[in-house]
Parts: sequence; C-alpha cells; structure tokens
Amino acid sequence: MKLSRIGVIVLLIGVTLLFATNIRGRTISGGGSIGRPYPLGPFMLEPRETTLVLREVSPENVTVTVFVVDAKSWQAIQNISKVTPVFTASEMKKLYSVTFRLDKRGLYYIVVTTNTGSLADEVEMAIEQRGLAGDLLTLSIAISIIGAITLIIDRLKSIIQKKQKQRNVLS
Amino acid sequence: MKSKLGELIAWELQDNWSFPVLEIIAVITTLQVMSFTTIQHDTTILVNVVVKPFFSNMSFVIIISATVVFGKSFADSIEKRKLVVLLSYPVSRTQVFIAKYLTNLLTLFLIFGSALLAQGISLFLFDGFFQPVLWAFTFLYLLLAVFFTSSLMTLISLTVKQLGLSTLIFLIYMFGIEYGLPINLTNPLTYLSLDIGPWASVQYSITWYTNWLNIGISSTGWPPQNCFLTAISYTLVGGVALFLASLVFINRIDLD
Repeated sequence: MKLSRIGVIVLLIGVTLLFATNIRGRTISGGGSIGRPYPLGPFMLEPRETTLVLREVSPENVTVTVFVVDAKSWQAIQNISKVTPVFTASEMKKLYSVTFRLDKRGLYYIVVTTNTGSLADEVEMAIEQRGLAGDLLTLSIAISIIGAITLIIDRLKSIIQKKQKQRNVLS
Repeated sequence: MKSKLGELIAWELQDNWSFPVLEIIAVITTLQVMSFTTIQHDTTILVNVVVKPFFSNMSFVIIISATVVFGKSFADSIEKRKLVVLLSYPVSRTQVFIAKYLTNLLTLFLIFGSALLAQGISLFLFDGFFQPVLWAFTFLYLLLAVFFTSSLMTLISLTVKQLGLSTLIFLIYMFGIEYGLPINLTNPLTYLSLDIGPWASVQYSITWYTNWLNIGISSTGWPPQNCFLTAISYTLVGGVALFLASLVFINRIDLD
C-alpha cells in the first residue's frame, strides 16, 4: 500500500474520531439507583475526571451526601460510617453537580445518603466522563497529525524523487 | 515466490479495496462505533448499554459494506469481464472464489472488529473475567453477521451477474428484514434482524455462561431458547448454506 494511501486513511480516521468524540461528549449517560449504591468504573484510562449531576433525589427537598467509596472496602462492611470514602460531597440537592477525580484505577461505588445517614430512597444521576472525552479528543488530534505528517512526507519524497529525475536527465 | 492463492488475495485487495472503498467503510464504521458511550458498569445491563447500541448502529454499515464490497468483487467482475480475464491464468474457479471471498470477508471483519476493539478498550474490555467473555461473544456474533451478509450478497451477485440488480435485490431483502418485520421480542422472526439477532444472541450466550459458572448474575430469562436458535440458525447455518451454494454456483456458471 502506498504511503499516501496510509496517510489518507489515518487522517480520515483521526478526523472521524474527532467528530465521534464530539457526539459522544454531548451524550450524557444517566444512571438510576434505587436505595442501593451505584457501581462506577474501572475504566481503562483512569485516573480521570468525572462529573456527577443529581437529576432526581427522593425524598425531595432533602440535602444528601454523595460518597465515592472503594468497592472492596464497601463490599466488606457496607456501612458508610465505617469506610473511608475517596471523595465526599455534602449538602447536595436536586440538580447540583460535582466534579471529582479518581486517583487510582478500580471499581468504586457511589453511595448517596440523606442527612440522617440512611441511604437515599431513589436517586437518578447523570455521570459524564470528562476525562475519557478529553483523552479521545487528544487521541483523535494525534491520529490526524500522524496522518497529515505521513501525507507531507509522501509529498516531499515525491518532490525529491522528481527533482532527482530532472537532475539525472540534465546530467 | 508467492503461492497462487497469495497472489490472488493481493490482486483482490488491490483491485476491490481501491480508493475510496476502504476509506469510506473505515470512516462510517469509526463514526458509528465510537460515537456512543456508557458509564453503566453494571454487568447485568452491560449487554443493553454496550452491545445493543453497537449492533444497532452497525447493522446498516454491515449491509451497505457487504453490498459494495461483494457486489464489486463478484457481480461487477462478471459484468466487466474481469473474472474471465482472471480465469485465463492457470487458476481454478474454486481458488479464485476462495481468494475473493476470504479476502473481502476477513478485511470487512478486520475493520469492524478493530472498531469494536477500540470501543471495548474505552469501555472496560479487559476488566475481570466476565467482560472479556462478553466481548468474545460480541466478536463471534459480529463475525457471524458479516459472514451471513457476505454469503448472501455473493450468491445473489453470482446468480444475477449484474451489480445494479444484485444490489437492489440484496438491499430490498436485507432492509425488508430489518424494517419490515414487526418488532415483537417473543416472535422468533424478529431475531432474523441483524440489529436484534446478534445482540440477543450475546445476551443468551452470556446468561448461559454465567449460569454455567454459577457466579450469581441474575437471569431475566430473555431471549427464549427458540429465538436464540432462530438467530443462530439464520446466520450460521444460513451463511454456510449460502457459501456452499455460491461455491457450487461459481463452478457451473456461464461467464460468457
């Protein structure tokens, strides 16, 4: 396969991935949790930023606390007062959002409790992986640049070859 | 020195996958596969949030790609007498058929599989022992879907010998199955669709696997066994039958 063909394919894939990432970034994935913790991760490219929006909280008009806890410690005890959360956001209400970063790859649980310490009856969350979208954006730009450089190298090579041929003809 | 089959494969790649066929298929596949995401890392619903949108987005791409690639490879080659020229070399019809069919099938699967792998990496593909099996089933049913569409388009191309007409017949049949059949998840006929069939097969297979291992993942009892068997028979048995019919047909077809 010619170098120019490879360059065109790589460039096209890079640009397409850029569009796909844009579409992907605009799709907010939602998740519901009925009185139980919500699993999160592990993702391939952690640590990354995650934005969490509380779409619905039941009972309504109560402030809740959002904990992100390591799955192993949560599964062992299942009591939020006895585990050390990796992230805590207190005084949260419906439509509040919070952004956090997980420093270590792994499976976590999002535990939402009311101000009395009991698990919230029903929570609807929207979670956006800001980090992954950012990674894919960087990746798509990198692929596009590699494709463009390949095309430029191919073009330069053909120019050099053309000039060499002209020199050979003249000599 | 290259073998005859190797030379035929190289020729097929150069001729059939010339600009812009590969580029267009790669671009559409990337856009369709990479444009969805999920954070719902719950093993009981992973099939619904990952595998379902994948096949839903890809069924259209698989059909169109098979039409272009296999139509160009067989019907167009007969119409433009490229196949006659190719058979003037000391190669048998079976060799030409195998080279053409395998090259196109594997290249298509390579493109779709690479996209699925890229999406899998971004969506916890290698996590634990459950997810890789789920993805393995997804790859398997993707291969079956590509195999079936490839075999059907090949047989229609060889029968009709005209690119336009074979494309029309194939598209009417495939889109008729995709959009014409009523969606009723208890009706086995619904599982003939490339959108629902492979997705339901992955669900059935992973439920069987988890029950077999007894690892405690709840089963919803969906899809029913007869629906799963319909989907598998249609793509696997149907694909093999169409492939063998094409193989017999190319040896008996009049190319003049």
